[in-house]
Amino acid sequence: MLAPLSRIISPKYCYQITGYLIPWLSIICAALMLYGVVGGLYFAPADYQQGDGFRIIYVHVPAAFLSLMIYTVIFVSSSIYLIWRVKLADIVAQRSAALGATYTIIALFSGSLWGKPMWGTWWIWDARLTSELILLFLYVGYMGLRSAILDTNRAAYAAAILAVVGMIDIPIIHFSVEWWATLHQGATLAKLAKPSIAEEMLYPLLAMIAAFTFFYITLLCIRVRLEILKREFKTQWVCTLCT
Amino acid sequence: MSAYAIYVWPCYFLVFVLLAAHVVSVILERRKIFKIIFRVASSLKPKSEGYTPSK
Repeated sequence: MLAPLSRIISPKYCYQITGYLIPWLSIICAALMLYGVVGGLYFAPADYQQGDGFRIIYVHVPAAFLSLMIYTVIFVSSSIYLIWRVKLADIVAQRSAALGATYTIIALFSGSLWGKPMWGTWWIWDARLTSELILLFLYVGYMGLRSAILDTNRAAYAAAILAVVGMIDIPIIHFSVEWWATLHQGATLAKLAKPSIAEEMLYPLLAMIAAFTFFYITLLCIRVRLEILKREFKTQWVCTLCT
Repeated sequence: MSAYAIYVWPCYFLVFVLLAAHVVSVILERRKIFKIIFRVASSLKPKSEGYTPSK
């Protein structure tokens, strides 16, 4: 029963599978991004209170959503690495961090640009904003810790511990608008309730969330392939690829 | 100046610059890694038949 599983998590098999997936993922990402950007910038009507400034939502919300999702992926991968010592899980965690940090920066910057006209301030030490900033520090700390330790296995182990401990920040970010009296608004898209946003504004938003997700998955596949080549470059199958 | 010019366009510009930077970094890293692999693969290639080492 474990034999098929050990085949799936082998670097060579993963390299082959991601090679098939990348072109399709890229096409889907490009199509969704085009629809989301055009729909969000041109076809969605202006908000009656915020005017055209609300269109920052089409980058801010997807970036914030992905910043949390990617850290969750890093947490799950790190846990798998710590428990079962699966090399591929460590590669996924390592290669997700840079894009996760990028999305967090985008969320903070776009939120700041949105906050100035809406709240009259670029920044406030609000529960959600502060916890999102801490998430950025976690990402940077994770990448810094990995590069600071020269031995790959020790670096992976230390970074995995940090990723697991830092996971406490994710529910704090998500529930901060419910637990504390914050300036940041509550959830626009709830899991069980009807969305509190008009449909013409909602569909481009969902498309942008999907586009950012597919962008992450595509880049992750490419980066995982490169990391596999880096770690396995002395093996026969890698040398065969290039001859 | 409208909200579009001051807030919305700089936001979208930053997003696409950052995402494009990731794509460029991946392309550059791919080139670097394949250079190393080609070097290793060619050093492991067996010598061709008929080769006689000089005495």
